[in-house]
Amino acid sequence: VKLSKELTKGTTALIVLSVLKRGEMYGYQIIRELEVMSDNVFSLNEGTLYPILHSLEKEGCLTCFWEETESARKRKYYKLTDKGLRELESQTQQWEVYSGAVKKVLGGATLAHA
Amino acid sequence: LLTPDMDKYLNKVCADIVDNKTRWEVRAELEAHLEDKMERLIGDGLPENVAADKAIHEMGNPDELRQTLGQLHSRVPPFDMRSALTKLAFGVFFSTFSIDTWILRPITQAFGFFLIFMAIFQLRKCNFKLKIGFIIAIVNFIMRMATFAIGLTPSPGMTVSIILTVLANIIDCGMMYFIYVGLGELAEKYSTPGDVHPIRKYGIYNIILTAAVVIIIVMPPIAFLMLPMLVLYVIFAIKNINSVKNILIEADEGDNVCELRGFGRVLMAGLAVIFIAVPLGVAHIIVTPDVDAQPYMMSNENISIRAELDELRVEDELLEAIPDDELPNFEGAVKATNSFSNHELKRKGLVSVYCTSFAFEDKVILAELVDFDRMPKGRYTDSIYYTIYNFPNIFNIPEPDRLLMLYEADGETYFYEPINITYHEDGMRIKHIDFRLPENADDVRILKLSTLIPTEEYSDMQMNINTGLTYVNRSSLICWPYSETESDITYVSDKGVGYKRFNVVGLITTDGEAPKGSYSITSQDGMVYNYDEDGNLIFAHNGALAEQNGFKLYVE
Repeated sequence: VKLSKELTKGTTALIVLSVLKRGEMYGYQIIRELEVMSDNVFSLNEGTLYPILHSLEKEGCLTCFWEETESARKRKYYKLTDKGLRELESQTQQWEVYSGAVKKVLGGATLAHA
Repeated sequence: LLTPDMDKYLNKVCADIVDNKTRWEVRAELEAHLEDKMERLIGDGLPENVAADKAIHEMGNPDELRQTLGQLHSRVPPFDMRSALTKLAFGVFFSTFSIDTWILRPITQAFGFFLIFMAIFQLRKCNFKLKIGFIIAIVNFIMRMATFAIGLTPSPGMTVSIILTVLANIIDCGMMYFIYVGLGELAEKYSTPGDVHPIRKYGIYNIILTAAVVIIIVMPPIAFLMLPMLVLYVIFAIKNINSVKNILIEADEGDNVCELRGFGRVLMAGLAVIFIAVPLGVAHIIVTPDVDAQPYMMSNENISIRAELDELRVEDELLEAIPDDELPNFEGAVKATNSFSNHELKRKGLVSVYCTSFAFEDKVILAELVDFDRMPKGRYTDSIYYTIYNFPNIFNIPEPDRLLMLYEADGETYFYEPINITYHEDGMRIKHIDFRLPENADDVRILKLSTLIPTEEYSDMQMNINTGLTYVNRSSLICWPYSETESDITYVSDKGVGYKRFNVVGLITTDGEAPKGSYSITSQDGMVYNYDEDGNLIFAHNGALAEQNGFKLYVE
């Protein structure tokens, strides 16, 4: 299933934060992780990930550091901060309320038809 | 691993990021991503070129990404608070700050222009009028700095400097007019349609203000109005610029009023300001008289007198007689004797006469003060005063009440005491000196302004002959040239003998008698005639002997 942009828009930050809860990662790693975790449902448009990471970093939800790999490739690692953790909790809560409501409405619609 | 296509893609995507460091960081991050991705795709068995294309493709539309990244990294946080318009407000204030007594004026003004230049680079919503205003600001900056530089050189530097100042003031009007009207236009665009922003008026106010400043310069008695006027004006201007800023911020929801663009250029502008203004400021301080100088303890450095050669009545062709580098060094002469006249021939067409000072028993008495001036032609009727404005505060007069002015009117020579002297607040520096001119004079020419040397100040002195224009004796104090005759002046110094032709005139004293004191006069054949204090010829000899007596200058 290819998810529409409109649908994923509001949740990408939440998803990124929750992936980073598992540990510090660099951009490409986040994408890979996400693919594995969501069984390839979330194949994030790769370019959009970076602006999200940068704005989360600006907001102070993430910190970053550079590390050189064995192939001399410099990678920028992101790490969740305390603020990021709180943000994740609050967004998760919001998401649960929202998705619960969406589910209810969608379920209600089915009932009405039946 | 990076292909040319990837390189191009990365360049494109990062193009809108303003800050260099951020741009390179973002680029490096995306580059690592592309390489990782490609490595994996190749690992999956894709050929290299296909892998590269796929990696780029999956990264997404480069234009969209460029826009997003550009917006995200458009503002540099530390400069948020100090917006371009605030800089503009203070820049306008400092760049036009023109209170003469402030010795740091070049630095202050240059700083003001620096702020304006920064605003130029920062302001994004720049309209056509603002752009014109900024271009004029650049011209104005160059002129202002030139004004200071030229003002430091001998006459006619000062005159040129004053003309430039007046011109710069007129240019100020243009600069402010366009900046203020431009800002008004900008604000109106974002406020309720039909509104006219009050800042527009400041363009006109500034023209009125500049006219007022010119009037004040011409009429020093109302000079006290200058500061309050300027302060009021600046307060209102800053208030209005602030209101423009608020309108823009509101229209933009606090964003994008300005950004730091071209930081390198701003830095260059700053450095230019420092390189130009700081030396000028320091030079300005050096040439500005020390207000704490003690009467009768003045040194030559405190006063410089600028006179044009023709006013000293030296003929032009003689300037070529001594090349600049062969000019005598009078410092040697200064050291050789206590009683001296110190003259320096500076540039072609100019003579810079430093204060002629006489030292008697550790007291220095000032004899020459001001440059010569020619009065405008026309009939002077009853009670005309000639006023000398100490405009650039060049000289500091220890005993102004002993001033005398010698002038020529309709061919007659007169000297008068000043009828009025106006001081600065410090009580030391003279603002201007008023002299009364003879009634019904037509062609008036100021010959000299001198101080009287009171007899009680010295007991025994030797006469000094200066440029052939002034000398002093014991009884009648000051003598001036009287009738025009051509004479040769020979300078003797440690560098050798210099030679100039002056239109020196006969010598008179205040009581019309020959000066007392010993002095020497050289003839053109090199003979030196020495006179005793009663004016009797003692002996004649060649120049070498006279030097031992401390005479540095000979007049025939």
